[in-house]
Amino acid sequence: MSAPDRRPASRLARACAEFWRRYRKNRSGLVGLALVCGFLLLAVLAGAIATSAPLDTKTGAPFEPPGPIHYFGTDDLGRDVFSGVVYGARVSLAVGFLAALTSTIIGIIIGAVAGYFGGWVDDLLMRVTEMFMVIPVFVLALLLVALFGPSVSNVIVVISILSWPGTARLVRADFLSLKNREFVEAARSLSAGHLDIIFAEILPNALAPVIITASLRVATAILIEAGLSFLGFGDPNTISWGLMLYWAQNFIRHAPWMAIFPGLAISLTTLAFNLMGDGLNDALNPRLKER
Amino acid sequence: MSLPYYILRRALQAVPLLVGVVVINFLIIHLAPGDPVLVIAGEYGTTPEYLAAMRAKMGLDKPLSVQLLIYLKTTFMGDLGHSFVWNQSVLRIILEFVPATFLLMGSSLVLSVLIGVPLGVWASRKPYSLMDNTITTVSLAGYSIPVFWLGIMSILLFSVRLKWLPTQGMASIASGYTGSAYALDVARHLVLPATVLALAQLALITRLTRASLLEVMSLDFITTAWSKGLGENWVIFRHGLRNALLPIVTIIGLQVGYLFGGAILTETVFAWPGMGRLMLRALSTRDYPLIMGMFIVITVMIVLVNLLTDILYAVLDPRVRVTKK
Repeated sequence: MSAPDRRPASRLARACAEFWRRYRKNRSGLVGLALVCGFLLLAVLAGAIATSAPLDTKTGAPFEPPGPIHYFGTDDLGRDVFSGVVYGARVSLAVGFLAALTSTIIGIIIGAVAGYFGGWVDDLLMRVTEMFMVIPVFVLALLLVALFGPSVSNVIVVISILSWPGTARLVRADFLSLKNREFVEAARSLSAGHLDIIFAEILPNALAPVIITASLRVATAILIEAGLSFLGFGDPNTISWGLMLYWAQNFIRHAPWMAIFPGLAISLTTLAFNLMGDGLNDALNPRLKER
Repeated sequence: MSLPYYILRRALQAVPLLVGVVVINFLIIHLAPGDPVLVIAGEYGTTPEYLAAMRAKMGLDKPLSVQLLIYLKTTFMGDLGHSFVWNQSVLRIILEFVPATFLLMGSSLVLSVLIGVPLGVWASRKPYSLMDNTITTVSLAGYSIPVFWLGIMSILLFSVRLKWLPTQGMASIASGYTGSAYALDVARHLVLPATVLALAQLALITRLTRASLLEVMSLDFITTAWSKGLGENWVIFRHGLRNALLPIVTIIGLQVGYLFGGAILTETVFAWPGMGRLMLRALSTRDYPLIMGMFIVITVMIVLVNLLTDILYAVLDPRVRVTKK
């Protein structure tokens, strides 16, 4: 904490360089990062990469097997599976990132308030957290999306509301152990406000496990979205990998490519974020730093 | 703290949890678009007289807080409502579908522990060796593959290509099997869905066993065991694993909710006649009382399993009773 260099920009730059030095060592972490970047590019450049519009039914005959024109074949309505997979990256990544981000923010706020203030606030918030840990996330998500309507935004909101408890518990534990340390006392004696202490002093020191969890949460959110869409409770108007698998269900024997490629895309994306989480864990976990 | 006292305290702690779940259910019914009576009664088969009677029963003319109390009371009396689609009490319908799901979840859980723990032990023997890295990476891949896609792929491979195993339902239709022939038939139907559902759990258990064992093996009492000249297997299994398995017990409890989600998806793929299929049917017929009832029943089961694992933990490890709040 008593870094001589006070300029925040260069401190941040050095921290980043140090982080990258550690992260670089982890081969699977690098593979994960590369895959994530690849899928991000796919989502952003979907219009340029796809060979046709994802919902265009006139790209070819139905049930054409994979070949030079339709790389991944066509489905029962003559839609190009490759283009569907390319455009599908948008929904999966959007849901994954936004749900992970929102649930992490909720988790940080609840965990920070509980850990920092303690007492009955902590008791109350932890009871609520325990309750959300018990609730079967996928079951309730399914129920809520069915009741409130299956749209991409509803799916994001539902996953966010249901998956913050892990983060909250991590943040709370860190706040409990950090709030009485000297640097916090110092800030307090300089009459810093609660908000200042929580966000500027303690939170930066509690972020490492939060970031790791957030990376893993992207993977979980993508899996939940795919599962909902697969059951027919995703957004029916936006192409997604889960929706493509929902369409494929009745043609598994007839046109296996309809199921193989979207499923591979889901698996690779979630694997990428899980690998990245492992890499982040090795790079950020203070207990392993000495190695 | 004595064991009975600990158990009693944990059981009492579960009560507010259950109340909270019922309150959430209540809020969902009232936040959902549309008339709560229609939500609770379902959209089909209702008559104006019934709706009026339901309104009175739910106390819809009274303030929200009174309605909540009424709802809590009827729910805790075991009255989960009536399904018009089935024309049966919700609780009875659900109980009919519980055994199939339990069979599926139970066997996949057993499978994942039986395979996952040894794999974890194997991986932890030489950390960061080729074997360890392989096991860790493969299990991460298993954790990343969506269970329903794995199910579809296994159908493609094992029944369409190889024609080894049946893929739909729980028993051969109209086979007339009885006794052990029937059990064998069900077992054949169970192999694929249970294995598929086990894989994600297996990955988690493998990684946890490895991490937990690595941590335990660095403790002082293990060093003592080594220095006494005990054999490798004895130290790992009798001293290390016994302690390393404790967190696994807790994780299994916490994973039951996740397992339910996986079961719904797996049952859909394999047409397994359990609660997952029941839930999808309820959702597609908008059978709200059944949907809400299933949510409550599933959550109560999860709370109970968590309670059981907590108690088991306390029995296995007396330290918990003192240190863990």
